[in-house]
Amino acid sequence: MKPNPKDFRVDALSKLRGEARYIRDERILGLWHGLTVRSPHPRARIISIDFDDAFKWQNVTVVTAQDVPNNYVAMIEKDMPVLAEKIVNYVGEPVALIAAPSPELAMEAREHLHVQYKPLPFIDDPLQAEQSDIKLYGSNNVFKEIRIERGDLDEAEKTADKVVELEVRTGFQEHVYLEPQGMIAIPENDRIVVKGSLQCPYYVKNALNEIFKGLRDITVVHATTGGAFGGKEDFPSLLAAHAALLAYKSGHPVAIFYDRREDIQFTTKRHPSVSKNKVYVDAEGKLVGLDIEFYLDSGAYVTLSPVVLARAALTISGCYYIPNVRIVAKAVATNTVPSGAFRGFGGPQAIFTMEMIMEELAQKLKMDAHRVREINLIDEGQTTATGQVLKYSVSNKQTFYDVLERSNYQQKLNKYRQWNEPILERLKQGRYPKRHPDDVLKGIGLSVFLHGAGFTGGGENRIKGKLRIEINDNGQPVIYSAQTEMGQGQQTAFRKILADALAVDIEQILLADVNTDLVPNSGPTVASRSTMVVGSLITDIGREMIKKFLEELKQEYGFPFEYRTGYFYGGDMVLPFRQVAQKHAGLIFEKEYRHPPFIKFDEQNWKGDAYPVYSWAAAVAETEVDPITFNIKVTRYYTTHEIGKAINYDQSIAQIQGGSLQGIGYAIYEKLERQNGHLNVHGFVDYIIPTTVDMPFMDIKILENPYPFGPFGAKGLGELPLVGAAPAVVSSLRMIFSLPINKIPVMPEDLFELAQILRKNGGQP
Amino acid sequence: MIVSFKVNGRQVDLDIDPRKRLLDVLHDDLQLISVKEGCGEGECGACTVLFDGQNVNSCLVPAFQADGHEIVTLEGLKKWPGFSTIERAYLEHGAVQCAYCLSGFVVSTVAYLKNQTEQTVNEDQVKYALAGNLCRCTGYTKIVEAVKDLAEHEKLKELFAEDWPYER
Amino acid sequence: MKDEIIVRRPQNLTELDQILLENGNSWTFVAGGTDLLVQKQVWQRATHVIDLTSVTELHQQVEVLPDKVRIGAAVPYTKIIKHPFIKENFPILCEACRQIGSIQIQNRGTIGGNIANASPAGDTLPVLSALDAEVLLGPRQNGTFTHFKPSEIMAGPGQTRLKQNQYIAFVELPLPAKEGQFWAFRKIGQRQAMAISKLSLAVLGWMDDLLTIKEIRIATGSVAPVIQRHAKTEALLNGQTLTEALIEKAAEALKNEISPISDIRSNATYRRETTANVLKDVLYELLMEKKK
Ligand SMILES: Cc1cc2nc3c(=O)[nH]c(=O)nc-3n(C[C@H](O)[C@H](O)[C@H](O)COP(=O)(O)OP(=O)(O)OC[C@H]3O[C@@H](n4cnc5c(N)ncnc54)[C@H](O)[C@@H]3O)c2cc1C
Ligand code: FES
Ligand code: FES
Repeated sequence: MKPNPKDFRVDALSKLRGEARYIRDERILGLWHGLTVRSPHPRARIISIDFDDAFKWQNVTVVTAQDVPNNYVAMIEKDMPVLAEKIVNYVGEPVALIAAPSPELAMEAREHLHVQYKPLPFIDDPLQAEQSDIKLYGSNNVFKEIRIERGDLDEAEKTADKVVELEVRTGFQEHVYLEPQGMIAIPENDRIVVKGSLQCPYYVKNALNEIFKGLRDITVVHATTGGAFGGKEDFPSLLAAHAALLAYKSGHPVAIFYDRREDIQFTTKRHPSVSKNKVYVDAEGKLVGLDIEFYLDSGAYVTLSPVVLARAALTISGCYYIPNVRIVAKAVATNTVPSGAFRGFGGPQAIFTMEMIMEELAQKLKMDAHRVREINLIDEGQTTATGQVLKYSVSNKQTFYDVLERSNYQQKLNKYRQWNEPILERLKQGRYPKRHPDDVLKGIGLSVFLHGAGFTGGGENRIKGKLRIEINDNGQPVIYSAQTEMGQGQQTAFRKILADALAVDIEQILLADVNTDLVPNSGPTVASRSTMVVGSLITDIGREMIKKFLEELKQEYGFPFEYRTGYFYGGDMVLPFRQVAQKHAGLIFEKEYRHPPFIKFDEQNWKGDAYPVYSWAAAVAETEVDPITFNIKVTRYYTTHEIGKAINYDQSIAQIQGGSLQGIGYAIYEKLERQNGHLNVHGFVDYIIPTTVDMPFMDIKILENPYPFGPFGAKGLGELPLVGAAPAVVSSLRMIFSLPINKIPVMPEDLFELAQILRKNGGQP
Repeated sequence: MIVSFKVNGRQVDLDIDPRKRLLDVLHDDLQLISVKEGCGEGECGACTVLFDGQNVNSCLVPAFQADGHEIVTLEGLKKWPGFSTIERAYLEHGAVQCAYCLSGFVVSTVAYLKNQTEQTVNEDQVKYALAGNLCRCTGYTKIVEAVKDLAEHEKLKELFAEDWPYER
Repeated sequence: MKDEIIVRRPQNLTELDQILLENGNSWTFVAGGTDLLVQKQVWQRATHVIDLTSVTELHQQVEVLPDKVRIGAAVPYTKIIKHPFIKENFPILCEACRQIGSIQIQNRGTIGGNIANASPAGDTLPVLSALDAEVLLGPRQNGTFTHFKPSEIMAGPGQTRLKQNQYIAFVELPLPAKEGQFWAFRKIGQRQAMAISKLSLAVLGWMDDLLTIKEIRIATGSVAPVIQRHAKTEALLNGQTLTEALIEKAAEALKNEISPISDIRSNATYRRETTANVLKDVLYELLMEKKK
């Protein structure tokens, strides 16, 4: 279906014509090139940094820890140095920086800079971190521990009919934004201007303000950004610090552009997770208790791990009603590149874990996977693990039933089971499995998922996002926000929200460039918060604006006006919006975000309204597995998303398509492992993401169940699609083999092994 | 060394470092910024350009190999009357997100449409033709739909035949 | 500073041979560049480079001779795929070329590069092996090329027995009989396009109407450090009537004949079993088809 031309993206044409300037397309006179000298060891003491005489050092600038005014990157904590000083804690940790007039010269200089290390023992396994004698953080290497408790597990144990235990694992995931990280820093008198591919200009500004406290002012400018997915949320603070330090010391503008190898090996990843789970169910399969010990492998420094952990812990049991719960979640340190923000932010790990618990239950109880889910789905009026009563816009059951019906789930399930039977039988007997040349195993599986909109807990009230809208000389409202476009359609959405609020054409609305000197801190572009949180400020201001103009018109003309469809009507006068607005050129509207007052969260005890509202979704995946090679193909993917209100329907569909495929990649393509402290991929050659031929047919539906406090009822969307794709795919594989698969990624080699098990045990695990 | 080739119809003679890739020469020296680097290893297709009418990864072509040949980038495609049809299809299908992949996709689209000989279009052919271009944002669906539409566009075939401004 | 680099772009074979025989330089050849430019170290360090795409015979020539075809080593895959004679007579080669990388890669990549790069995952190599290809090496001595089998050129992963300044000029494929011919090329990778082979299998054979295998050639890729033909498995099948029992025996034999490795892309057990199963698959399909 083609979208309404009114919904075309505002940034599409310049991009289609190749005119949009990304950071690598900037032309800056006298630009120097920076590069990073990195640790080859997972953990080591730095003995010395030596410059050999064979190189003319006066032609380049070198920065080491000594040159950093305040050597930490301010995020949640200040534990991560800008450059390692005494100890390096992961392979690739930055130790020194070099800038030169050309990249070649910088590379040559690197050959002449010799860092001596004394390798030290390191932590390679998140489950060993707490007990390890090696201390990377505090007394036990736990960056953050969260306990969510509800009801009484002893009670659950008594009433339960069955107890099921399982371990679930999820792997690293790399963002693979197509544009690698890149940043330029320009020194200007008492100021450093940083421009780059980034998500959160104020994060960068705050981090650099601390590093250069009292020495330089900082301006951060957002360049056209070629994808981010969370990967340009926290990491750019470090990269910007590097570029800024080189610019500061050399006096030249300096660019640091990572190539794919550097990017894939040394920037943040999605946290791997491991969990030990125990579930209690009654005779019908209703959940009576859940006991989870959940670990996030966070890498060497804190970065954003505590909040990723919080979202994971708060998401795990989200879609189901469970009276007795204990979730103990820990973010632990390992000697690995720090994990960081990634679309879903703990959600994908949590939902995968919970959905595998449901799968395991189904198998142990000999129930259908969708039945076990169905009888446990949480609904409006019920309470979550934190005791939050779900009041608004709850669509768990609606999405579930919708996707089952649209995909014809039940019928296909029966059909595919029958279809697979003879093939599986032959596999068990070790015979040639096919009846005809194109025989394949057919799977169908499902998942149920949700995503809390906006920041976790009291986050929004701490950030206090501010938005400004100014009327320009032409009578056009200009939105000043720190929200960034990275491909998700934020520019179009914002302009459309205000255009709709004012009932004017989208062309009437302008958006200021994102530059911290110009725009207020409306908070970071993360957590699916832009539309719901900042968008609600836009509609609020829109309303205020009309109110203000109506008052002014009444003053001026002496009779009341009314505003409809873009015009002010009063007496026999009809004034278009723009004409009225023009009289108020220069007028400024400002507003600060507050959660609706009834939303309360106790961060000490993890009780209350973890999120103001949730977006809901369910998915059905159909897969084919080749019984010879065990290659997996997702053939069809159905999903129903309930997001309050789709501000731009077409772009919402696009987000769901992209996010779903990223989730499918997470499930069966994207493998990245740590071996002896080193990540084992080096580029796109060995980090495999889906191509056009790997994409399934997608059938997507959006339901709207407006949230009264979002703009036009909108909740969040950006992250949700990724969150539930992997469990749906794995569910379909479990359906085929009727054996546990409790980890992602699942590779053909894993299914091959399952087939060996089938063969050995005649099908018994 | 001196290399002489045609870029978007214009003859250029450049004195280049022989180690430079065609990508570097196009993007840095000639300021054809539509040519993007996503991997530098031939895997992502962001650097795709037409080399004598065929799509290639400019990150894998030593610039000197262009000597005597004809290169067309997205900047050059814009001069072709058929481009607006292609642009329109991508736009209407909502196939644009971060767009770092996009110029590569558009060049591969043109190469496919131009060189395609089959009578009937099927989705698998389209997907196969675009498999050398990675996109992380869109999930490909809208891009493939757009190109499928274009492949069925009769007028476009004429525009290739009659109004293609380049030699190949 | 970086070393100076000298680039030569000879127009024909004579010029090429002259350069190579001229002086003592050690030359690096570049054809499509699809392997060389990925190996940044090698590319950056090269000091004397010869571009083979400028050599007309190597880059353009597909010569149909009475009993064979001779393909220039630097002819891009796309041209091979589209060549009517090759399409008609060597569909197995077209199939392998079509499964290489992407269209972009096929528009540049060459068989010469595939052989000289000597990757166990080189997809044309098992096919060339099954086709009993000959590789012609230059520079010419007294006007003649040196002849080799592709498998003789590969010494190990990334290593060839090519001497310094020796280049691959042509690949010659003897025309296989059409009567009773069957063939299959199977490539198993992590995704459906742009995949590096975890394992590949090329089968070329001839069978009569009574299902007797007159001759079969079986070669595998990616399962061992070098591309291999599997003489024992071939011998077991040659002259035999194709039956389920024979297929099972052949698969067992292949399993014992290969010695795959574990690496980032897969593990040895999977490779061993799956290679055998893919052979089974090919032969069972043949059986099913013939019985129809
Ligand atoms: C994204 C991508 C995907 C790929 N997918 C596949 C795939 O699916 N299957 C596969 O098999 N390969 C694949 N490759 C590898 C590569 O494309 C092939 O090996 C190709 O055949 C190499 O040919 P070329 O002409 O580009 O070689 P070049 O890069 O030009 O050369 C490779 C090596 O061979 C030498 N050389 C080249 N020609 C000659 C000659 N005539 N005589 C002597 N030495 C020579 C060069 O000096 C160099 O060392 C892929 C590569 C990339 C980048
Ligand atoms: S940059 Fe050339 S293919 Fe990725
Ligand atoms: S639109 Fe972002 S990579 Fe394709």
